[in-house]
Formats: sequence, structure tokens, C-alpha cells
Amino acid sequence: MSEQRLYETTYIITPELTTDDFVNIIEKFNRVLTDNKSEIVNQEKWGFRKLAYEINRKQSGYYVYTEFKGSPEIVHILEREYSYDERIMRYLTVVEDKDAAAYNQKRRTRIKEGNLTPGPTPYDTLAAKRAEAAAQKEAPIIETPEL
Amino acid sequence: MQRRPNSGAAPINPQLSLKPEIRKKYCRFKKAGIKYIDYKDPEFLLKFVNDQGKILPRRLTGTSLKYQRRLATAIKRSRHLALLPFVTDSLK
Repeated sequence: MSEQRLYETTYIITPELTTDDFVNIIEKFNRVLTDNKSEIVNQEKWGFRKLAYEINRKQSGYYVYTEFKGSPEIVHILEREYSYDERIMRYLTVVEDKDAAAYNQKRRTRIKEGNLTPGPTPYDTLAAKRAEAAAQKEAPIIETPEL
Repeated sequence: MQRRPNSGAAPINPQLSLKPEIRKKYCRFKKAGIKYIDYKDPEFLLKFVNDQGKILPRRLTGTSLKYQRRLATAIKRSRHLALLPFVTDSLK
């Protein structure tokens, strides 16, 4: 077998399923990985979050993020499995290069220490935060009447 | 570099033309020593995007070419996972 590399893969599951379904789906794809001689390094369930735009007429989705070590052939197998499963709305698999691996290592330890909640900021809170920042930025401009 | 004087009548607000010179731009990735731009962090990527969700050009942000390229791929990955929008009217 060829050289082992580090990958990170994220997929979004359709929200309209039962809790058991989510568990089964995650288990199914984990099995795809382990059956193909790859090792799961880290798995984060980011859970339900609002999407930045509609996918298949859905406003939200269940995010699962996995880091695994395996040979390059496995990416193809995994992505084919994703595409066969209709409950998967989106997926993305990326190789971790040297810098990315270092970054994600740091990220993992930060999560372990409880300094970082896993998962990116959901889009809706992001928009709210940005609006707040914009409002603060605008404030001092109004406060300079001397000019 | 001197600015061309306001053509026509005197400037409406003479104080405005006395603004200090524009600050020198710099690549914030080089300065901060950031080597990897994470697509999983939309909050950070949002700084390099305009209100419509378009990637800001290097000429405005001052990012070096190397990191602009990495930034672009990170933003595109983030968009694919619906962490960032492709197009919107108001990110603000």
C-alpha cells in the first residue's frame, strides 16, 4: 500500500431525520474508514447549524467532521459512499499538509483543554456579530462634529 | 505622493483634505506568522470578504500573493460547506 497521509473530511446530513439515523450514518461512514485500513484520529460532531445558503431546500444541516490517516485511494472510496447516500447534502475531503497538520494539532489540544468549542461559528450568529461590529465602527464617526 | 488638488472651486470642507497620508499596507499573515488559513473558521475569513461575500482584492487588504492564494482556497472551501455564503446582499 502506498504512503499514509492525514485527511480531514466534513459532511452535512439532512436535518429531517431521527437521532438514531444520525448515529447510524456516522457509524456507517466510520466503518467505511476503518474497513479500509485507515485510522480515525479525531471526530467532532458539530451538530445542527444554520447553512449560509439553502441546500436542497434545507436551511440547516447536521455537520460531522473527521480527521483520519489513510492511503490516498481511500478518499475516492469514501467520497463515492457519500455520493451514493442521499442523506448526505455536502461533503469535503482535504489533505492536511504540514502546516495544516500543525494547526489542527493545536486546535485539538485547545478543544481538549476546553478553550475552544468544536465547530465553526454558525452563520446566523456570525451575521449578528458582524452587524454589532459595524454599529460600533459607525459610532465614532458620528461623534466627530469638529470636522 | 501629493494628491491632485480638488478641481474647480475650493473644497467644500477644507479640513477633510488635510487627512493624514494613507497608512502603509502590510500582509497580516506574514506579520502575525500565520502559516495555515483555516476554512473551518468563517469568523476570521469574514474579514477578507465584502458585504456581498466577495473576496477582497490584494490591493485593498495588502495580503501577499502567497497568502492571498491560500486565503482564496480557504474561502472557497468554506463556501462549499455553507459556512460562508456565495452571494448575499448584506453580510453587515
